[in-house]
Amino acid sequence: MRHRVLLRLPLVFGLFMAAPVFAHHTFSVEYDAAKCSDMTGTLTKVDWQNPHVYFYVDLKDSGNQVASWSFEAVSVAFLKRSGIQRQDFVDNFGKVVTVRACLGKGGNSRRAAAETLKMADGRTLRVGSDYEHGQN
Amino acid sequence: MRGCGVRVCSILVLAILAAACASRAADAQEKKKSSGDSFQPKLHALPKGGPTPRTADGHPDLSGVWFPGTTGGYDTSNPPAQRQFDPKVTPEEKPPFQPWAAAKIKSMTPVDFELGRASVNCMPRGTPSMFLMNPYPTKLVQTRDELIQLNELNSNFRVIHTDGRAHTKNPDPTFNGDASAHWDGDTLVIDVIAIDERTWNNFVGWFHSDQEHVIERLTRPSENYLVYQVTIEDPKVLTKPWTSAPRQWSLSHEDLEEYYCTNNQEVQQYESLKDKDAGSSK
Repeated sequence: MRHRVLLRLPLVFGLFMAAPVFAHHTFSVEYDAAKCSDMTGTLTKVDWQNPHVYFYVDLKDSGNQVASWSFEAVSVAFLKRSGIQRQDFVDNFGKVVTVRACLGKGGNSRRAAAETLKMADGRTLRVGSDYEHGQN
Repeated sequence: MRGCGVRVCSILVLAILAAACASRAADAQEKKKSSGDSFQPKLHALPKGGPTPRTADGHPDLSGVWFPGTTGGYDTSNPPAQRQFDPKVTPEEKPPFQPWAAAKIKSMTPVDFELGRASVNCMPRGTPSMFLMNPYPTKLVQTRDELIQLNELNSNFRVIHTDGRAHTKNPDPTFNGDASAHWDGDTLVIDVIAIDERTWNNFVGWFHSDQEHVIERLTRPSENYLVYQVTIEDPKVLTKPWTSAPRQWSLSHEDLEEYYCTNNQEVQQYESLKDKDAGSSK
C-alpha cells in the first residue's frame, strides 16, 4: 500500500501546480524533508490567516487514540492565487482527507508542514512547497 | 455589389471572432484539464508591452501593481521567469563586509538567521528590502508630487515626496527611512537615510548601521516592466558601496490581497529549536 502511494507521487507532483517557494521562513531549519509521509484522518478546521494558513486533522495513532494535528500551508495570497479557496477546506470539514506532510524538528510534535492535501472528492491540492524535491 | 462586400466582411469578422472565442474556451478547458484541480496556469515572461506610459508632466508613470520577476504573477513552476534578475546576465557582487561584520554574520547559526529575519518576526521589510526580498506584489500610485507604495506584504505603505525636497532635519529612524526623491531624466532617484536598524538587507544576516544610506533608482522602460536598482552605503559595516543588479518587476492587473501577519507560530518553533540545540551542546 505504502509503495503504491509512493509510486503515485511523481504523477501527483507532475499534475499539479508547482509549489510556492517563497516561504517567509526557511523550511529546512524547522522541518525535516526526510520525514515526510501520507497522513489520513478527518479534516476539522482551518485558520485562514497569514503568514501561514493552518488546517487541522484528527489522526489516529498506533494505539487507536485520536489526536488533532496542525498542518502548515503557505500564505492566504499564495493559496488564492493558486486557485484554492477557504471554501475548499470548509466543504471538507468532517470528511476523510490525506495530507502529504513533513514532520518538524522540534517544538510541537503534532505539527507538520503540508505539501499536498487530497480531499474527500479525490482532488489533490498543492498547499505547500515540494519540500521533498528541494523547494523551500 | 458594395453591400454584398460589406456582408461578406461582416460574416468573415463574425467567423473570426467565433473561432477566437472557441479557441480561448478550448485553451481554458485544456489548461484546467492538464493542471488538475489545484492549478496554476504556467506563466511566461511578459512581453515588453507598449511604450513607457507618461504622466501629464512628461515623467514616466510608475503606477501599477507589480510582481517580482517577469511573469506579472506567481508561477514557481517556471523559476527563471520568477527571478528578479539573471545572475549570468547581470551578476551581483556579494556585500563587501568589513571583517568584523563578516565575522559576526559567520558566527550566526541557521536558527539565528531565522530569528533575525523580519519575515519570521512579522516586522516590516523596510527599505530597500521591500524590493530586494519581497515575494509579494507592490502597488505604486504616482501623483504629481508623490509616489505612494502599497505593499501587500504586511499591508505596509510608504509615501515618497518626488518634488526634490530635502531630508527632514534630524529624522527619527523608521523602517522605510526618510526619503528625498527627484527625477533624473526618466529615473526616479530616491535617497533614503534613517533606516531602522532592525531591518536586514538580505535573508542571511546583512544587518546595517545607523549610517546606512540607500539610493534607490526606479524606471519603467516599457509598459510591462519596472526596474529597481539600489546602492547601499554603510561606512560602519561595508568597505565600499554595494550596488544591486537591476531587479525586474512586471505588471499585473490583480488586486492586492489583505495581509496581516496575525498567526505567526514560527518564533516559538525556532526558540524551541534553539533551546534544543543549547541543551544538546551542554
